[in-house]
Amino acid sequence: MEKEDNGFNPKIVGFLCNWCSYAGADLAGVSRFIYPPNLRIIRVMCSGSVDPAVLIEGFLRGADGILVCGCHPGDCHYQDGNSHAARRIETLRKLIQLTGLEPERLRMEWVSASEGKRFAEIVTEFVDTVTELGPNPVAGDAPDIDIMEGLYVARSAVDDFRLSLLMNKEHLLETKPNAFNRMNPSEKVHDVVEKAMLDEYARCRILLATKGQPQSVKEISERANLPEREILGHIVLLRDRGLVTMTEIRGISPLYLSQIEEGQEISTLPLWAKVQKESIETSIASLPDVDEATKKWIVRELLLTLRCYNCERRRSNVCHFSVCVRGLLSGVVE
Amino acid sequence: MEQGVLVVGGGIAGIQAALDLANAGIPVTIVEKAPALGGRMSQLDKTFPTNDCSMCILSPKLVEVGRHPNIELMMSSEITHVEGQKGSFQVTVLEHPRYVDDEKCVGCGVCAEKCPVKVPDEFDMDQSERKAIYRMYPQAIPMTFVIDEKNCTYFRTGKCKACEKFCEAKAIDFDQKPHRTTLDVGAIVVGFGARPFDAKTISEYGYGVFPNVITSLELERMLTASGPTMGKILRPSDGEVPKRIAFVQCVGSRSEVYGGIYCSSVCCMYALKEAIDAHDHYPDIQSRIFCMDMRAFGKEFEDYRIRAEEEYGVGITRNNRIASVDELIKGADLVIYYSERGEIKEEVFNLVVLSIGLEPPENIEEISEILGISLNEFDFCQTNLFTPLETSVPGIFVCGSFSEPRDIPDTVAQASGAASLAGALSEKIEEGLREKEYPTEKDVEGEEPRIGVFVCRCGINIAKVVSVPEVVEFAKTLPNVVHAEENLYTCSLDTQKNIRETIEEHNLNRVIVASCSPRSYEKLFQETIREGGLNPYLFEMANIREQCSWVHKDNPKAATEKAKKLVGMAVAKAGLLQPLQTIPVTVTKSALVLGGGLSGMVTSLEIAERGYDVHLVEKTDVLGGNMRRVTHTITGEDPRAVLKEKMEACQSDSRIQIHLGTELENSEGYVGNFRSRLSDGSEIEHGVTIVATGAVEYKPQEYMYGQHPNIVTQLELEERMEEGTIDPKEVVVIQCVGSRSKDYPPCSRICCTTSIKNALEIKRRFPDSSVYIIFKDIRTYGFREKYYKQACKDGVIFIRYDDDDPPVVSVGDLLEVRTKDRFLMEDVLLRPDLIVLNAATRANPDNEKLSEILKVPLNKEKFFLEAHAKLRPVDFATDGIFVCGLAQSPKFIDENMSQASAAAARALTILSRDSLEAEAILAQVNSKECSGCGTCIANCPYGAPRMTEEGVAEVVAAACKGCGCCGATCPEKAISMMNYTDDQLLAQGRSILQGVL
Repeated sequence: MEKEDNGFNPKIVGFLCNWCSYAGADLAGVSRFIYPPNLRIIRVMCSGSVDPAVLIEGFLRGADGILVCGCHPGDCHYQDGNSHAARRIETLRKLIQLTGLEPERLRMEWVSASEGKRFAEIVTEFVDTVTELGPNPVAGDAPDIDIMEGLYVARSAVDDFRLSLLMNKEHLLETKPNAFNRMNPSEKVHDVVEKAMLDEYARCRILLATKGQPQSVKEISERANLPEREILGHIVLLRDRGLVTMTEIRGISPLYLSQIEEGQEISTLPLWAKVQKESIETSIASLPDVDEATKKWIVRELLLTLRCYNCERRRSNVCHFSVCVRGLLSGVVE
Repeated sequence: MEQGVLVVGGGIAGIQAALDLANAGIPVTIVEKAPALGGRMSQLDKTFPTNDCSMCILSPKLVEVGRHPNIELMMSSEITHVEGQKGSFQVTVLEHPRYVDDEKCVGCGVCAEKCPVKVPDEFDMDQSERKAIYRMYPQAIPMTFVIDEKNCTYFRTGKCKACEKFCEAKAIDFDQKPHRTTLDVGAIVVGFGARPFDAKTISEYGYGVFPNVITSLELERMLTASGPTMGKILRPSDGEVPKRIAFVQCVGSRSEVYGGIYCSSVCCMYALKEAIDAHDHYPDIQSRIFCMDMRAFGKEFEDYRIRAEEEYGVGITRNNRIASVDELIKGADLVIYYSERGEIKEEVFNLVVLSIGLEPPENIEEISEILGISLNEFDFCQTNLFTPLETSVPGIFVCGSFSEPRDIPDTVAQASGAASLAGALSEKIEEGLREKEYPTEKDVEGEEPRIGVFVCRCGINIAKVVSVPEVVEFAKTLPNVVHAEENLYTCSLDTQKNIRETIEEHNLNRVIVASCSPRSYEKLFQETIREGGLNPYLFEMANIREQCSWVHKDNPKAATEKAKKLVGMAVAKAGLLQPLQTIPVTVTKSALVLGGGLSGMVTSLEIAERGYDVHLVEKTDVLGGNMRRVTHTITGEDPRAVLKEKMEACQSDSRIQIHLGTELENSEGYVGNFRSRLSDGSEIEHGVTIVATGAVEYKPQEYMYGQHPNIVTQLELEERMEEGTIDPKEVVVIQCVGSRSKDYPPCSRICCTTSIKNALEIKRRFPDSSVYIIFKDIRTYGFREKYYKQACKDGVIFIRYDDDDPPVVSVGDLLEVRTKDRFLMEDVLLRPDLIVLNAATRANPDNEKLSEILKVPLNKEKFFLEAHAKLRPVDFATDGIFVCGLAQSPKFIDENMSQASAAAARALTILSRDSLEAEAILAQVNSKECSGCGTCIANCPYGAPRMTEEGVAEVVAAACKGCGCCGATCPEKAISMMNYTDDQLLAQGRSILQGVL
């Protein structure tokens, strides 16, 4: 039966991988295992191909629940796309929790091609869970503006270069040795990713809070719902990136204004990248006796260095945690 | 050597053989007696043990055959004369007229509507009527109608021609004459199948007299949604739905009086299937199966049997050949007497189903004479244990039930195997495929989407639950949809023709089909729209059957709503689809074969014979595998001699490089281009991988094994007999040791026959000895039944035991076995001097490691899991990797040989090509956006992205599998998956959520 507790009929989106889960859903059909009709399935080649931004967008657009299904660990048709997805969704759930939306609305499950019954059970149970949670607070005629704003910010945060890179590589960082041929301790990797997620979320909130109207730290703290003591650090970084400027000092409080214009995505990425790239290119261009290929190489290396993923200690190639993610990555890449 | 192979018989055997040959570049002609392809499988409702809808899995194959450029069809035809020898046969084929012009007929069916003559429909087992002009079934290939000369009024009286009058296509042609053609071919494959036993022969069962005694095939047709009762079980006497159904097994099988003494192999399983299916249709129905033994011997069959009993409440009563069926009330209920646990019982049933066995095909003496092939004592095709696919005439091969009754997966494996052997005797077409001409692709660049939506009723599969007209009306309201319609079967050829015409008529540039799962039909429809002049990637499917009508049958209203949403999603995505092109991928023309047992060697030899290099990798220091321990065979052939011959052939073949004492360490790449590292340090490149790593004999933990030197396994017994170290007086054989138990439910298939083989051998060598076989069911299926009979005659004593009451072995001064005879319900105490444990065949412990390296799945018993239990028995889902022999599941020597040939045939469909078409759905890097961070390179398991000199990533098309993981992980959002872009996914999502926000 379609769940209709108090007239609530949850809308659930499913992203199913082509090889295992979609086949499992087909098998549920072939075996005639009945489940509630609330789920709308989108077929993707691999669960690992679902962009986090798409998932958050789903909630913004009013999905009451999102179910991502992939092959069981080790069975992935594409080796480990499913493990990437699992790690990413774990982080996403934490991020969603920050926005005030219940993380239970996002679920990752393993369903093999032979698990028609399991698929039907999962759907039935998930529909029950979501029905219990009630409608998505940002859907409907009176959306919860706070949560909506949170999701909007989260949507921007996952697009950030550094967070996106860490989140998407978490599984690799855990399972492959780093540049120094040592395994990275799992907790450390999780911590780094979680910290990046918290930072990026905070920064995007600040950008939103200061959009259009200069604000003091105290005001930002209220509008962005962040502790005052954390704000200044982020502001310094955002100023460095050219995303925030100080417009005036009111009393003893400096006021900050976001450089993000109306209609522009509140991403910390594009503007920053552009500014940096331009400034590096200008300085490299003036180097004598360097051929074009080398110049390009230098720009690329510098850019990557400047975006050191962990410590963000710009102009420094030395990692103070000795797990320099840049180093880890080079180990993985080469 | 001539070019081409003749396949006689258009059932699943002929279809599979033809496809494998054709895909390996060999032209094929299929000659079929009936007016359409499909054979017996097309009449089935479901298939065991997956309960797949038979037509659903068969139909794509039918269509593929119908449109394959290398395959020619000769329907309503028979062979009348054969001359020549292997490599060069001249075959005369007599083609009977259809009286309908293939080229003109559109399959609209108006002729059949207007035809005044009604005759019983043999396709529905005479349970419905068809006209004198007809099509065998809705999905029939060719779809052209045919006139049944015998019943046509015009042919009988010279008047009528109603069909001609109403045929708008002017396709009726009463002047067609039979004509003979002579074909020159290199080899012939015969797949005649078998004929269902005529139940009227056994008068005791009252078939044909008592209305409510029907055959299993009649029930099968009733169960089919498109059958005579539209999927309802209605008993013939009063049209009521029965509450209690009895299945009477072995009707025409295992009998010295009626039919054959052999077992028909498939009836136990189909009875279980029909019982489950009946229960699915009507949960109140209770079924009881009366059998002598329940023969659920195949892969996953025993699980199916358990499910039938436990989940569906199907009763199974063993040890009973039902003596007679009587009417309790005239023309209504029936009564059956049977014995259970020593008591005689009677039970009343509303419907009795006779599980009819398989007999040799009709007129087989005549046809075998034309072909010159010998028949065996049962009038089936004569074959040998080690040459299961060869008839007595070199160059004529056999597959399917014509050589022994067998189920679909075994038939398919044999068909592929026969294709491998026959293909070696034919020249292939230079360019691989006969040219296929497509219309020029329409340029849709910059055009507004014009979407056509085709909603399938799938007979009643969808239409019974989802209101299809409502979905069509809804589709018409969606943006960019310019045409929407419903079809009875969108997959049928006439609808496909209609799609092509509609594209033209409405100038469509996107097509959506709302029907079944895209996993089965996407390719077919893509080809259809390509033929209609559209790029195949301008296509999208909405799965409103598997993921809608079938799972929401309890709620038609919600299912209809969901179907609308699914169509809406497809429309939303379709608007954003872009035309894509496939890229050819070269093929490395060599094979890697893992495992040097019988299967591995046979596969290697067949691939090498066709001129391709083979790396044969064997873990131990010697070839031969498990067969080395087999000292004799039940049919009398010498296994050692055959093994020696195969080993020598492998060693002397310069194309086969043998790696002994070697294991696979790593393997990467994709179909046509694998690269593997072996433990001997060699790095090899190969186009296909074949897994033939065998299985192991279970080391018993039960029955005091290891506690006494005279408690041995079957393989140990054979070794002891050969050494001459036993002189038994009394032998007890215990069956199902490590099989069919709570912890390990599967049946090991070969043990019953092995027991009987060794029991006969013991009786032969030690005539005074007594042999007791303690068993649950004796599963000597097919012609093996003959040896079971022989063993009974030779005085081997069979004692059936119950699961609840297993035999107990004790080791004291004497060996003792206590058991309870389930038939007589009496305790039995035996004091043997030798106990033989029939140990299970278990998966090779290396399988887990191998499955990780090759990224191919295992089933829960750790045997390799093929792509499809019925129709792809030796394929993996991953292209270019195949499995055969014991690695797939336990089986006999002849079955292993067939599978090994089958794996070779499947591999040859790749190796024979110079290039394959790669996936067109690839990752694409926008180099402007790419920052060169390398995340995609690190994340891709296939090494598809690489860094260019410009410092940005690019994707190597041939290596890309199209998973899209790089796209999701690209921090710059510079990578997108063609036709799975974030935009497209969001468009689908938005459509679902429309009206929510």
